[in-house]
Amino acid sequence: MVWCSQVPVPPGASPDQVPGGSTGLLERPDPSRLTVLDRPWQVIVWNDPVNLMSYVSYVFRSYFGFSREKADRLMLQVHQEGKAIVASGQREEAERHVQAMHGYGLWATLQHETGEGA
Amino acid sequence: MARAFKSTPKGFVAGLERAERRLLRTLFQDVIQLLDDDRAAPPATPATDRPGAAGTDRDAFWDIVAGLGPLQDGGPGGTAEGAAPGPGPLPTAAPYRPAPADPALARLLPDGVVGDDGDEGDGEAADRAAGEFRALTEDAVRRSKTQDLQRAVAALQANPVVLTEPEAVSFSRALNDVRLVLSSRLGIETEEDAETVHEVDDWSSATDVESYMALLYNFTTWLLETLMVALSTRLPD
Repeated sequence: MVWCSQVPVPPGASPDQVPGGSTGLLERPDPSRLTVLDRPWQVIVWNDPVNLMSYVSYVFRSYFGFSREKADRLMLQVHQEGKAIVASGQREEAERHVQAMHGYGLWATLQHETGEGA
Repeated sequence: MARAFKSTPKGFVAGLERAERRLLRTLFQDVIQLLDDDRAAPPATPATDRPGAAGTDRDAFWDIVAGLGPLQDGGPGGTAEGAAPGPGPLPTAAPYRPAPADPALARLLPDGVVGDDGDEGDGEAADRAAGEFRALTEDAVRRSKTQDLQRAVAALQANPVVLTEPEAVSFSRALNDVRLVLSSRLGIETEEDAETVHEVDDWSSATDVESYMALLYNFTTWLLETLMVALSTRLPD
């Protein structure tokens, strides 16, 4: 459940543009059965033929604070496999990241890890 | 001729002639308009107060640039399933907002939740979750995009164009949004489509809407690429 500790607020976003931390989006899992920590929320970035590889790699490095090597590896995974999980963690953070990726024009989606092998 | 963005001690600097800056400003303003038109207005409504929209001997060209409207009715790209106007969503407790009907706008404001395999039409639950996520986030994304585009317009007042690093990042997002809109109008859906568009490189022989749009796409692609190369030199490895 480790987010990069240096995730910056995306340059164009002010705090009031980020959905409130307590705002519900999707149904929370039944707390009696599992916790959010058991099933992290994942941020998926999808391939498209428009976004430049240099742009995608820059966004991964500057926004998530990834190394060049990690950013390039994820960017190539998106390009070659069609998608990549670029972050996972608590829902509110994942929602914020998806929103930020949309601000950059990358197609990102949120998904609740479905369990083993997901 | 435009000169590529370079990272310099003064900032990120590009040489852009008056006509090139005017062209870019018009493209940025078109996307601002597109984001502002909202769901009620038709996507191809051209702005009427666009500077330079009249008094040019290339009116046809500027008509093409203006509005970035679809090439034709039911143009390329298609609308994501579930995005078309029609019966409203099932009543839900949470606020819900459907995806924009205009494919270019939908490209700028994509779904944040999808079913398996990225199929936007896959499953009622995913569709509802996407609409709920959109209700929460879309307005903020529209605002931040509009701010980027407005900053980009403002940055193009003089030659050379000189940007601070935050301005350059904002400018890159604005340029990318222009490319997304153009790509939607051009129907770029596959790598092969992108290659075909990339091969259009002769301004003198461009006589139709699609050729002009392809040239604009290639120009903005080139400019963005040079900016990303320059920006990436400022990041730690």
